[in-house]
Amino acid sequence: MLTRQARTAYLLIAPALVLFIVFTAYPFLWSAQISFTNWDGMNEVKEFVGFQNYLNLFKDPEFHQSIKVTIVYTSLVTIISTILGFGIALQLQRRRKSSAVYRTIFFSPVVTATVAAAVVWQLLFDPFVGVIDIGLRALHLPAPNWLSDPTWSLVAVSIVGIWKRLGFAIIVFAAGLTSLPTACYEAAEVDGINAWQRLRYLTIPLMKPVTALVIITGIIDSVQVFDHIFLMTSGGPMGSTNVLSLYLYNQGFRLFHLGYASAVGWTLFLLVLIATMLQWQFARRDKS
Amino acid sequence: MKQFRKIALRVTDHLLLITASVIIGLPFLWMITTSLKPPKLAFQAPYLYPTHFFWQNFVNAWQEAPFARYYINSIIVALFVTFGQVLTSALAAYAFDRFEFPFKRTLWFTFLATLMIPLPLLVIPTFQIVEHLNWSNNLIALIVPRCWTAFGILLLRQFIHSIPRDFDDAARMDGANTLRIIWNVILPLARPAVATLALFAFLFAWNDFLWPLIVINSPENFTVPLGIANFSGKYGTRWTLLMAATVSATIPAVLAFLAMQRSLIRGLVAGGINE
Repeated sequence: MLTRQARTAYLLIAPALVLFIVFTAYPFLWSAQISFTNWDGMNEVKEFVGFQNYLNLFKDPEFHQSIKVTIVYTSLVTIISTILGFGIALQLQRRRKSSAVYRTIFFSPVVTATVAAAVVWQLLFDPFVGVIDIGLRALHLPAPNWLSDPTWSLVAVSIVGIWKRLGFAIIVFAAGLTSLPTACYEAAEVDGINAWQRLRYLTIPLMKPVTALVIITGIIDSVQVFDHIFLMTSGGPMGSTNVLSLYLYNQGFRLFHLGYASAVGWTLFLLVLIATMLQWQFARRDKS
Repeated sequence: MKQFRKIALRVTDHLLLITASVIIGLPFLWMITTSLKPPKLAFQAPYLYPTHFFWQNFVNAWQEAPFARYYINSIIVALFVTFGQVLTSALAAYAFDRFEFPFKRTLWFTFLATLMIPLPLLVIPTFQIVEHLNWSNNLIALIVPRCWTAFGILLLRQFIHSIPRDFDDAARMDGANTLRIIWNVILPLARPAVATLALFAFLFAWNDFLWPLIVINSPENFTVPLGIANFSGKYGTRWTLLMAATVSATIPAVLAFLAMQRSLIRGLVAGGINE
């Protein structure tokens, strides 16, 4: 028998729980089952093929490239946006009076629909009349054919990813910096440490939890990137920007290889899982 | 000497901040400038500040595609998702913080674990479920599956935890039931966290692309991102027209969000960050 309190609790959780079961837990488990079949989505018959999809993935050079591209993209976007975000937040903190204006500018990419931003960036990267290459040529720098050159396309879509992500990092870091304990700083002031030591031995260690938050949300976000790459390059040229989500989309919704696409999805999940575990490991080591 | 160093630091700080602003703002400047150029001058300097004001681009863009319709669809979806997430999260968060019940810890960690599930993985089976419910090509498919979020429950639970139970007890003495307490006592006190959750939910629904791309196929049900993607496919070479469309799709939203940024920042400071 449930107590009165437990009954009330279950009633309150019920709406979230029902949606969780129908639209998260059930699809999650079902996708595992689909990944062991060669279902095409229309045929009633789903043939069980065991680990065949996963074995095929291991041998699929397109998939290998997709993993590589996803890891490079995620690392580039997460690392660069975290470092830049921290640096800019530090300066914002020192210039508090005028920070509202800057913050507004930095945050606007975050609230812009990614698809709309992708359309704009695609034209900015145009090799003939795009502003970026016009600028580079004016400075007598090499002006690459960004989106149709396999060596530059991943850099181009990563730049858009960083642009989109940076504002979030800045705002979170700035919020974290504002709530640091002033007592530590006053004590340090008395000990007469310089600005560099203050940053190295006080601010950076104190900001560790916030940095962890920025990094882990950055990884979870970028590892499943889809929107702007779908629009700007569709994964090309020659698979150079074919991240896992795009590969999954093409396999699942263009070729209707639902089993194979689900196996790709589970690899994606595995990547997120590994990233989160590593993060935990670091957090635990810091605590001890 | 000290005075001089102070000024020098100030100048370099602002120089760096301004450089960052220009780089981040460049796509916006260029988009607005291009949207206001006559088509013949689309590829000519100046690129980053408007010298012409050719509003006809906007008239043409709105004639080519029903942007008002896209806006209405996006707003409907985003509002319902926001409301749904705040509601389900507030109820669940309150139960998790204030009550003891069987399987509480198991359920809590299961919920948290869902934060790691990538959305593209769920898209394939969810599409089948939505087909079964006869919801495909219907805005309801964009709303209902999105009305719960572990992130929201986590965020609100942390905040509710900092609200003393005395408030609940006082209200209960006055004869309020649990729903009343949540609605009249807890939610108003948790406003910064609720505002943050609402903003994230709204942004998420507003930006969502992969899921609508799969579920929605008739133009009258397009949301703004679908509309823009479709427009860019059709009129990709007519840059001034295309930019008038993107300006229409982004600037009002950006302005609305920026008006709300204060409560967002307050919420970020209050919830989650400095637990």
